[in-house]
Order: sequence, then structure tokens, then C-alpha cells
Amino acid sequence: MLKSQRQKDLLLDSVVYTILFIIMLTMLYPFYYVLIASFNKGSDSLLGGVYLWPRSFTLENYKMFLDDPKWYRAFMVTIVRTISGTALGLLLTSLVAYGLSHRDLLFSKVYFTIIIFAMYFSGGLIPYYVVLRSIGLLNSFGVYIIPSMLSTFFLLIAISFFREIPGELKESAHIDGAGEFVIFFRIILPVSMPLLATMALFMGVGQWNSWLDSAYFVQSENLRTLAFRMMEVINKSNSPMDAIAAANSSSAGVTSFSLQVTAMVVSIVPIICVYPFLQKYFVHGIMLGSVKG
Amino acid sequence: MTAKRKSKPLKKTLPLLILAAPGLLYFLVNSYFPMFGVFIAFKDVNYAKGIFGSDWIGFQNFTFLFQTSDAWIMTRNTLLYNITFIALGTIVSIIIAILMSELLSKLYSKLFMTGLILPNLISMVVLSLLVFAFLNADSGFVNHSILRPLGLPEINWYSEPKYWPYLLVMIQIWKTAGYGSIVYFASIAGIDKSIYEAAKIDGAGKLKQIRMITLPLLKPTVIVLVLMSMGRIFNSDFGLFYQVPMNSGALFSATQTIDTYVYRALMQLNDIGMSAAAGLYQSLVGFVLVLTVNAIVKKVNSENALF
Repeated sequence: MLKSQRQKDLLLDSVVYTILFIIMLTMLYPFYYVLIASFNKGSDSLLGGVYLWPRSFTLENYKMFLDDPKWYRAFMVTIVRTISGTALGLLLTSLVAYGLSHRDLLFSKVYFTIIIFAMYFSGGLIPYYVVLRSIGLLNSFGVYIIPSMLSTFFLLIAISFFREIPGELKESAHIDGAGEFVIFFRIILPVSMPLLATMALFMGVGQWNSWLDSAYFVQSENLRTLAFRMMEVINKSNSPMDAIAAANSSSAGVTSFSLQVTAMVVSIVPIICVYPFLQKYFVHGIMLGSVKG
Repeated sequence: MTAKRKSKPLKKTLPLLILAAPGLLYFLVNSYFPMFGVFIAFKDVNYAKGIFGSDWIGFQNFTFLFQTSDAWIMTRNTLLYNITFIALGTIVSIIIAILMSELLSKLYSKLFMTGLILPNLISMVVLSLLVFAFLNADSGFVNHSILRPLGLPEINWYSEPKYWPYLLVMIQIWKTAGYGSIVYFASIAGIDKSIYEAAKIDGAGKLKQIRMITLPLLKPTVIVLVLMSMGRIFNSDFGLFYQVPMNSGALFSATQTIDTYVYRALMQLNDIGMSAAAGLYQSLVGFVLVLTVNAIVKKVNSENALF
């Protein structure tokens, strides 16, 4: 009886492994597919059927990508906005959250009502546009960073995280005469790595991937982001005739599609490189999101 | 005595308020200033006269909006897609989480999670390109490497709306299920192992353990997460519905949501009033829905309420 149970479990295990393997394949294969497309000659990819390895290996796509000052510029803009936007966002969000995490705060309920109301009701795109225009943020680099510095979602997560920190930590610092500012930077932030890492990951990814703000609020070609450039190229040439025409005009066989997949690989690699460093804090951080503040 | 009690919290918490004040002030400007702008929806916006100088036209923008079939289509799509996303997303996430928790080695589950979260970290622009690589009519993976070898007729994906409800649901699940499954995985990891040991001694197999222990204990997490997504049921991911279908006009009946309508009314029809009206409609009805859901939940089980 016990033995047959064990055999049953063994069977179940192999089923589990098979299903997980299939899931992993569906999650990762699309990435692999475009990765090999980026190393394959563009004119050859148009024939289709490249799905296991590059059929006609080339680095031309990457050369073309790096040689284009437009892409280079977009890449730099994206790096700067990601770093500065994430740093400022982390600072502001954790400062506000730390203040609000104290339940004995004067008018504490008022602040929460203000924040939660704004989470579920907004003026909409056009009024928002008007406000941005009137404070002079339109068509400037600031529009990438300033409006997104404080998100209610992260704010609530951060508040519930700070409330978990044992009060004794702060008490002892208070006795030593440290002010709130010092306590925040010297004691609270160092023990908040799971929170900071999770917020940094999602804020950073949000900044890195952002294209809507570039589309809505910016006209200057110098301020375009990587994701916006990709969108532009994709929308310009999604008919196969265009792509074939482009292929014929380029001797190296670079097509708009091969350039797109290259841009895509370039835009994913930084995320993949940063992620492992943040992963160790990550599960705890994500869990906070499913716990009410 | 009472005076002393009252002044002490203020004195003690004033430094905290000072820490939070700049951020709160910023929040007011960023989130509340635009709310005054909702009046634009009641104006006949005229560039020459400016926004403030334009004529008031009452509810005319709304009347026009609801006279078109667009209003019905975008509302229906937004709601149906969201309900499907929530239901299917929850089920798929839980299944993956349970399967993952059966993976004994820590290393494997870590590697696995890295793969699962990857789709969550890419932008909709990248996703739209991935989808295009698979679906484009001529050299796309599906037509070229699956349908053609099988001798099946090829499909012009970007002009046939009937496939898109399924495609969009699949794409959304592909992108978001990994994140959800990590949350559920962490909840499962938090379940007391001795319960499973006891069940094992009583002769319960794995499937029975999952049904009798894991699922009931996941219920609170499910409720919180579903409620949180219910709060955004009138919103949609603009990138998913605009960029992924490549803004293809043939697909509008299946891909138009309120967010894409707001954008198209503004950028393509150049109708600011109509766009603002649709935006206000989304905000208001969405808000009423949240209040309703919250009130119902509060009645059933006040602990689960959103606020």
C-alpha cells in the first residue's frame, strides 16, 4: 500500500518536471528566437525557418545598431533616466513612507485618505497633460523623472514594510539622541534591503521600458528613449514589403526586422544582468505587495 | 494632563512630518492638480480660444460619445478582458506555484523563478516585437514553421479580429503569470510543513494534500490579490491593446479599450473634448466600481476590504 503510494508520487514527480519544463520552454523560447535572429543575416531571416541557431551568422546587425547615432543617443538617455529616476524615486518614496508608517502621526488618517483616493481616481490623460504643460515639464528631460517619482503602490508597500521593523531599533537610537533624519538613513535604510531592492527593480524596469511618456509629452528627437525608438521602428515597417525593400537596399543584408530584434536584445540584456543581484531580496519584497498596508 | 498628552505626539512626530512633507506636497500637485482639469470634458475645446476660453457645452461630449458604437465596444472589451485576465491569471499562477513547490531543490526553484519573471520585466514594445516575430504573415514562426509544414492554411493574424481575444489573453498570461506564481509560491512556502507530514502519515497522496491543505490555505492570499486587481477593472494596459496588435485598424472591434480610445480620440481624431470625456467616464465609473466592490467585501468579511 505504502509502496504503491510512493510509485504514484514518483509518477507525479515526473509529470511535474515535464510540465515545468514545458512552461519554462514557452517562457524562454521567444527570447531565444529573437536572440538568434539578431545574429542572423537579416535578408536570410526573411525566408523564415530560423529557429534553432543562426543559419547565416553575422554581427552586421549589431554594427549597424551601434553606428547609428540615433540609437546611441536613445540608449544614453535611457540609461540616465533609469539611474536618476530610480534613485530619486527610491529616496522620495521611502522618505514619505517612513514618515507615514508611524501610526501616531498627527492627522495620519487624512494622509492615507488622500493617497488612496488618488489611487482609484485620476483626472485622466488630458488634464494631466495640461498640468505638465503649465509647470513647464513638457518636452524636457524632467518629464521622464519628476512625474513618476512617487507611486501609491510602492508607497503602500513601503509603509507596510517599515511597520514590520521592530520599534526597539529606533528606541535605542532615540535614547542616544539621534534625530529622525539620522535614524532613517543610518538604521532604517540599511535593514530595508528587501524593500529597496524590490522597488529598485520595478522602478528601474519601469524607467528602462518607458515609451508612453516619450510619445505623449516629448517632441524633441534628442530626448527619445530606447523603447520609444523601438516602437517607432516597429510601427514604421510592419509590412513585409517594406522589409524586403529595405533588405534590397542594404548590402550587408540588414533589414528593419533584424535591426529591431537587435535593439530588443540590447534593451533586455541590462535587465537580465541586474536581476540576479536583486533576486535574493526579491521574493520577500514581492510578498509585501500581497499584504494590505 | 490631557494637554500634555496631546502635545507630545505632535512634538515627537513633527520631525517625521517634516520628512514626509515634501513628498506629500509633490503628491498633491502630481495627483490632485489634474483632477481640476476634468472640466475640459464639458468644453468644446478650441485651440484659438484656449482651454479656459473655450465654450461650455455641458454634456454634449458625453452624448456624442455614447451615441457611437465605440462606447459600448470599449467598455465591453475592457471589462471582459480584465475579468478573464483575473480569473485565468489566478488559476494559472496557482498551478505553476504548486508545481514549483514540488521542486525540492532550492537551486532549481531559484533558476526557475528567474525564467518565470523574465517576461514580466520586458516592455510592451519589446513584447509586441516578440509577438510580431511569431505572427507576421510571411516569415513568422507560426505561419512558416507550424502551419505551412502541417499543410494548414496560413493566417493573416493582423487582420483577423476573431483570433485576438485568445491571443491577447495568452499574451497577458504569458507576461504576468510568473509574477503571480512567485507570490503564491512564497505563500505556499510559508505553510507549516508539519501539516503535510501529518497528512502523509494518514496516507494522503500528493494530490489529496494539495486539495485538502494547500488550496484552502492559499485562499486569503487569493482574495487579497483578486480584490486588488478588481480595483483596476476599468483600466487596461495601453501597450497590450495598442502596441501589441500593431495599432491595426482591422482589429479594433477586438482590441479597443477605454485607454486606447482616449489615445486615438486625441491623436487620430484630434478631438480633445471627446477624449477627455472618455477619460472622465473611465475614472468615474472605475471609482464607483471600486467603492461598490469594497462595500460588498466589507459586508461579507471586513478584514478583506481594500480600505
